[in-house]
Amino acid sequence: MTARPTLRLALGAALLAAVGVASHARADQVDVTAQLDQDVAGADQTLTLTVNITIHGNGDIERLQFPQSSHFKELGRTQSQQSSFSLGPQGMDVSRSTVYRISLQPKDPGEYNLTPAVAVVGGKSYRSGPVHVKILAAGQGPSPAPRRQQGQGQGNNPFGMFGFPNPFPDSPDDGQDPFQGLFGGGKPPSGQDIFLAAGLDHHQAYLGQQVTYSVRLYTRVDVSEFDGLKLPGFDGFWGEDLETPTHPIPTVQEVGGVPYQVYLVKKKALFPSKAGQLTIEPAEVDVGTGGIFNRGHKVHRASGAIVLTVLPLPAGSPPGFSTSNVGQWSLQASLRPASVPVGEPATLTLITQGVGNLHAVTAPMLPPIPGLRAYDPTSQDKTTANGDHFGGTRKVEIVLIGQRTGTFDIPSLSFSFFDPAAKTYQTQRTPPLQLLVTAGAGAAGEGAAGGQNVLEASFRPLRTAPELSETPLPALRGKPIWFTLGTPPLLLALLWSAKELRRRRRDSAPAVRMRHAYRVARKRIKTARGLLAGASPNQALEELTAALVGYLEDRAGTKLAGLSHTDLAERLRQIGATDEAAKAAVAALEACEAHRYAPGAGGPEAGQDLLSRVEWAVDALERSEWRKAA
Amino acid sequence: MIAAPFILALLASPGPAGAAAFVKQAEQAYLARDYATAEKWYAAAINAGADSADLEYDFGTAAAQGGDMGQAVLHLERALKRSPWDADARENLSRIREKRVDKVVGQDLGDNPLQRLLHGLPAAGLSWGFAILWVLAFVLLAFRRARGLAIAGALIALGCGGLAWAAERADAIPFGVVTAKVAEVRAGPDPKLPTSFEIHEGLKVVLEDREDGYVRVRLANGLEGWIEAPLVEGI
Repeated sequence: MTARPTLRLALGAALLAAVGVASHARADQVDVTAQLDQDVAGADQTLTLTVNITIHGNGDIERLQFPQSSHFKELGRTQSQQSSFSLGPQGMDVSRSTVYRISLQPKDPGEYNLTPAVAVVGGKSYRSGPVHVKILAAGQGPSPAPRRQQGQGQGNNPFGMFGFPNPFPDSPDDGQDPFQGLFGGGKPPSGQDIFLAAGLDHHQAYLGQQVTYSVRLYTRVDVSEFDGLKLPGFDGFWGEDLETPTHPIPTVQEVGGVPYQVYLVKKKALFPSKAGQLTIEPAEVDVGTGGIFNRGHKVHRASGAIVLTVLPLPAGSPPGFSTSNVGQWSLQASLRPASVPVGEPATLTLITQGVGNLHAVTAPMLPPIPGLRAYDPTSQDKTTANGDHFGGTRKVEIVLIGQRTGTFDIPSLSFSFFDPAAKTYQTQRTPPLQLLVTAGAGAAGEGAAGGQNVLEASFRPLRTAPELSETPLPALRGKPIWFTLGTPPLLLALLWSAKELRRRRRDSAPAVRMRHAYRVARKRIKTARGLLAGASPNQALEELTAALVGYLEDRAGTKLAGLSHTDLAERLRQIGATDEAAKAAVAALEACEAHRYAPGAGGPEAGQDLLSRVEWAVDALERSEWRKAA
Repeated sequence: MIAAPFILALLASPGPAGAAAFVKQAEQAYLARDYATAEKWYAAAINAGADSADLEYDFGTAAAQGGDMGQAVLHLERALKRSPWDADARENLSRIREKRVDKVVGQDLGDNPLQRLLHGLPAAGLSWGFAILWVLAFVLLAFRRARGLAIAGALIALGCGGLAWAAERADAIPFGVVTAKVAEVRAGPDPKLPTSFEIHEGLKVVLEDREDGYVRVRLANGLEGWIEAPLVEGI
C-alpha cells in the first residue's frame, strides 16, 4: 500500500527569511537554484518548490527572497542544511547547502512565471533562474491521483506492525492494484515517502545552555520498524538523554501540504561546552516498510547536518563563578541537628535544584571553620527530564564534628550561575547557620571544666625509662640446630640396633651350644685323659662328668638337675637319640655319679673305664639323628 | 656549637652506662619540643652501645614529631624488628604512612598478614622449643615410655622448627628505608643513566644488591631501580 506523492495545485506566497548571523567572511561562490517538481499540474494538485542555496566558503545567507506569485498559496515549508568539507588545492573547501521545500497550491489554471529566488550573501545578491509552470483545470493534471486527507486514525491499518498505525487511514483507492501493497513489495519508498529529520530547538545558544536535539522520522507509507539508529558524536557538547521512545506513537504533521506520520526517534539535551560554530553531524536510521502480507523494503535514511552558533558567556560574571553553572538554579542549606555533643556528627545539607546541566554544576564549598572538623562531602544527583528541560537536584552532605564546645557559625554560601533566559548572572545565597556543640555525656558540666576538647589521634608518646640494652635469647641456627636435629634419632637408632643384636644373640644361644656340644665334650674328654695320665684322677673324673653332663644338657636343651635317669633317657629318645645311645648315656652318667660319691674307688682302672664309658656314650649320642629340642 | 656536645659524646664513647645520660638529654629535648636535638641525643646513645626496642621506638617517635620521616620510619621499623608486637611502634608507623609522599600501589613491604605473623614469631624461642621437645621425644622413645606422647612431641617439635625457620627467613629479608628527602631512582648504578622515578623519605624498600656506591631497591609494587647508597639505610 505504498503511496506516490499526492499532488495538489496551489498557489504559494513568498516569504523572507533571514538565516544565520551577520556574515564577516567572504563567500567564494554562491549557487541559487529554484525549481518545481512538475512543469504541468492540475489545479487540484500540490506542487513542491525546491530552493537550494549552496555557499562555497564561510559566508552566511543574510537575506533570502523566495520565488513569488499571487496565483499560488503556500501550504507549508521545510528546511534542511548540509555541510561538506573537501581538501582542494587551496586548502580546506567548505560548502554548505540550505534547501527549502515549499508546498504550493495553485489557485487558478493558467501559465505562470514565478520570480527568481534571491539570496544576499556577503552583501552580494545571487539569483536563481525563473520558474515557469502550467496549471491545468482541476482533474486534468498529468497525475490525477486523489489527495489524501489529513488526520490521524487507527482503523484502516490491519497490517501495520509493531504498533505503528496507518498514516493515511482514510486513504481512498489510488487506482493501483489494491493487493500490491499486501502481497508484493512494490517500488521502494522514495526520499519523499520517508525521510529523517534532526533538529534543534535553538540555532543559537550560550555556552552551557541547553538546546534540545530531536530526531524524527517522517513517513507517508506503512512503517513496520526502524532500527540501527546512529547518532552523531556530538563533539563539543555534553549530552543527556531526554526521550527514547520504545513504542513510538506517531503524530500527524503536514509537510508541504502532505500529511506525514511523524515518529520521535530520539530526543537529547545538549549543552555546548565551547563557543563558536558547532556542527552536529547527520543521524542515520534503517527503516522497514510494509505489513504482515507485504514484504516491504528496508531503506536507510540520514538526516541533515545541523549548525549551532554557541555564544560565549557575557562579561560581568560574579566572583567565584564557574562557567559550568548555566541554567536556572536554586540553593538551599540545612543543618541537622543544630545542636550536638562534642565528637558527635551534624550534617550540613546543600541542595542545588533547577534546570540545566546538573552533572556539570559546581556546588559551593564550605570554608574551614576552626573547631569544626568537616569530612569530605558526599554528593548525590537526581536528574529529571521535565518535558524538554533537563535538570534535577544535587544533594551534597557534609558531616561536621565539633571538636570543642561552643557555638559555631556556618557562613552563608553563595552559588552564582548564568541564566540564559534572562541573559543575566544570578547569585543564590544560603542563610548563615549555627551549630551548637555541647559537652558530652561524660562531662561534669558544661561550665565546670570550661568545655570539652576532642583530641585527635597523634603519635604515641615516648616511653619513660626505656630499656637501653637487651640480651635476646640467641636462636639456635647453623650447626647446633643440625646437631640437635640429627643426634636424637641417631642415638635412638644405635640403641635399638644394640638391643636387637643382643636379642638375636640370646635367641640363638641353645642352637649354638647344641652345634658345639660334641666339640666341647671331646675337648673336656681330652683334658680328662691328660689328667688321668698326670695322676689327677679326681680332677679327671670331674672333667669327665662335666663333659658328659654338659653334652647332655646342650643336646637336651635343658638342665639335668631334677631329671631322673629314666626321664633323661626318655628325653634323649624324644629328641632323636637311639635307644642304645640313651642307655649308654644313662649308664655313663650313673658311673660318673658313682665315682663322685665314692671317689678313688676302683683305682686308676676305674678312671680309664669311666673315660671309655663317657667317650663311648658321647660318640653314640653324636651319631644319633637329633631333632630340635622341644 | 650546637653539634659540639654530640661530637664529644661520640668521641668519648662512654659505653652503655653513659648512654643513659644521653637518653636523659634526649628526653629533655623532646619535652622542650626540640625534636631535632632529641634525635641527635638518641643517636649518640645508640652509638654509645645502647641497643633496645624501646630506644629505637623513642628515637623514631622523636623523629616523627620533628617531621624527619626517613629517620622516624627507620627507627620505628628497627623497634618492630626487635619487638614485633609493639603496638605503639606500629601505630606511629601507620600515622607516618598517612603523611608519606610516596603512595605505592599495593601493601607495604612486610605488611601483609603472613609476613606480619612471621615477623612476630619468636624465632629464638621456637628454635629452643624445637630442640627441647625433639630431644625429650627421643628420650621417651628410647625408654619406651608414652610412645604416643613422644611421637606427638616430635611432631610439635618439627612444627616449632619449621616456624622458627620461616621466621628466620622472613627476618633475613634486607629491608631498608629511604632517609633522604628525595632519591632519584635510576635504571642502573650510574649517575649518567636517566632517572626512572623518584622516591621520598620514609619509604620502605627491599635492598637487593649493592654496586659502585649504589643500591638496587625494590618497591612493594615491584618497581626496581638503583639509588645512591647513602640515601637509604638498612633496617
